[in-house]
Amino acid sequence: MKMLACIKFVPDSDDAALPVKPTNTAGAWDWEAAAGRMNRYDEYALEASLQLKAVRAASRIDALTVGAERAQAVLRRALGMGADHGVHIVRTGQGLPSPFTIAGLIAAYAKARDYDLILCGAMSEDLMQGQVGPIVAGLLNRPCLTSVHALDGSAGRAGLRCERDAQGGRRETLEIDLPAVVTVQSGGMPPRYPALSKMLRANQYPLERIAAEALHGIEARQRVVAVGAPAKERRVQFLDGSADEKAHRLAALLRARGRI
Amino acid sequence: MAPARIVLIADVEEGRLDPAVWELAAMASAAADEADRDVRWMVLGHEASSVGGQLAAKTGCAVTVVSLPPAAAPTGALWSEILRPILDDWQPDLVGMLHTTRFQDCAAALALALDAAWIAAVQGVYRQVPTNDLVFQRTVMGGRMTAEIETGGRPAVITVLPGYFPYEDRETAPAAIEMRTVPLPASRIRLVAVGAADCEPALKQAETIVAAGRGIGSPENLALVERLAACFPRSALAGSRIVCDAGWLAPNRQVGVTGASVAPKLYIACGISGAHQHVGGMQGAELVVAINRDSRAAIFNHADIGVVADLEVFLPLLIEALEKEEMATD
Ligand SMILES: Cc1cc2nc3c(=O)[nH]c(=O)nc-3n(C[C@H](O)[C@H](O)[C@H](O)COP(=O)(O)OP(=O)(O)OC[C@H]3O[C@@H](n4cnc5c(N)ncnc54)[C@H](O)[C@@H]3O)c2cc1C
Ligand SMILES: Nc1ncnc2c1ncn2[C@@H]1O[C@H](COP(=O)(O)O)[C@@H](O)[C@H]1O
Repeated sequence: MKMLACIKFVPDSDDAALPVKPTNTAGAWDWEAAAGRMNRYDEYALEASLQLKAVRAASRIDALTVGAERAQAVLRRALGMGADHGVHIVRTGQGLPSPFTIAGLIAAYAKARDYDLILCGAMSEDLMQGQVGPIVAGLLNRPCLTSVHALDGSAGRAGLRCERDAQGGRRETLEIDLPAVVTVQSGGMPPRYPALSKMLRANQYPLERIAAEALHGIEARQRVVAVGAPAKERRVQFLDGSADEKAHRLAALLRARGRI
Repeated sequence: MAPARIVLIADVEEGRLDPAVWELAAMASAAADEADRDVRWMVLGHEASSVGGQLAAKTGCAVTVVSLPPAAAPTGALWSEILRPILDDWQPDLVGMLHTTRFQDCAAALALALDAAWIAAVQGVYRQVPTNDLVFQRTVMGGRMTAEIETGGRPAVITVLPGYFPYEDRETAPAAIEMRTVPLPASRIRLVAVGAADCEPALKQAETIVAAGRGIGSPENLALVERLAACFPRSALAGSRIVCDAGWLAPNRQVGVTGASVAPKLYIACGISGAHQHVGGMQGAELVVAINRDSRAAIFNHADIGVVADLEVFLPLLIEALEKEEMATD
């Protein structure tokens, strides 16, 4: 089975250097100063592909990322986890890209390469949209299942059996014909940690590099015109003082509200 | 200028509508003035006609019901095959549906067929002056920022996040209902089984829920959260998806859109960032306390009382304060 795992380099949400406001007066946002890492859902997607590879003979996993120079760190990690090949579509450009742009590049790369299965994460942690996978599927005219957490490839060549949590906590089991696109949600097999020996080898591995301009992408269709602060759903009252003072204030407030 | 053509799509599950579906009507009101729009519903599913009647009566918008045989299992792939030719015929400016897994499966295919944009997890819509173009709002970065998105005059398919477009019932004249039957297309996705939701009953009954997020750091620290919960009568322990997926808590204690929806009198969120998938399950709580070491965390936008602190330091102090006060009043 030939698989393509799409992996995004995302800002580390715990890094205090991560801007959470526009970084210029035009409302644009860039996070050059903050650390990045592999999108968590993509770790699950890659793990799912590695599990499929273990049960399907003659499998191969290509890991692909679209991003700036430093995004190649996620390909090194993917190779360290067990991917067979790394593809870096080099794309610079600030701001929040349209999912159609990213999906267009991935589809252009995948088009003539006959992947049986393309895996994406359920969403990127920074943009939280879950669109790139379904758009790749649409562009390649493949069926698509979103947010699956378990994939069973033992059923035979034709299809995959997938499980997912639907709305309201219900669980669905579905079968999808190959070739297909799935987006992977957390909750299945926990992603493996790359072994040090594999990481050392991965760092030597020659990546396939392609300039985004060299691929026939598609139009953006939509554009982020501004970023800003979200509306407050409730008016929060922050407690101040030392940790101990805050603890006593909170206890007193809860008591006053009759909650204890 | 021609009125905005808006299509709202609903699907039927076991003969019922998703209660959030009314918010699509509220979204349509935000997107265009009543005098200036042509809104119609599309309802898909088995035994959808009575549901179609509800939509027509309550919203006053025309309804097209696509009734399917019971054997047609609801999947996004099927919805996409059925909807594409109909939407192609209507050429809407805006297509709205709920941001559920099934509609996420088909939204891209619909957008591509209509030469439209697709904007996901939409939380707000407004019209820009003077261009009159629609601007869509959604949150990014774990809810810490919002992005405003334009399509440059292109039609848009949007998947709408529940909980952001409050709907008010009003008097309307019931609108017309059109019934359609369509030949059942072949589908490359088949529904094999649906399991019932499994939610810990204690979550529904609890007056106080103490919820643990990834910020508790390790399963060992769960003991702290448990001790905190024990300070409150009729309390229960819950977790974010990350905590439940990691096995720190049972899956049926997960709160959120793919877990339990809860509405306790008090909800204490410990080390939870406030992603909309979590918030969607606890918005109904009466009083929300959030404890997080990051003052920029989105959970503070959904909290009444905020404490910026490290849980490992703060929780023991809070437990002590609660226990001591209890002794003092006994
Ligand atoms: C399709 C789909 C469905 C989903 N459904 C759900 C759902 O039903 N429920 C759900 O919860 N999630 C759901 N999610 C996941 C959701 O998007 C978030 O990833 C998740 O809610 C984050 O969990 P968290 O807040 O515990 O962790 P994080 O987002 O990692 O946040 C951890 C927080 O802890 C704080 N912190 C860290 N250390 C400390 C410390 N020592 N002291 C104090 N604070 C600290 C950090 O500042 C941070 O704000 C879903 C996602 C998808 C894609
Ligand atoms: N720049 C990128 N490079 C590679 N894969 C990506 C990129 N952006 C998004 N993806 C994939 O698409 C998924 C969903 O992203 P999004 O649509 O941005 O929420 C991610 O989990 C990745 O698998």
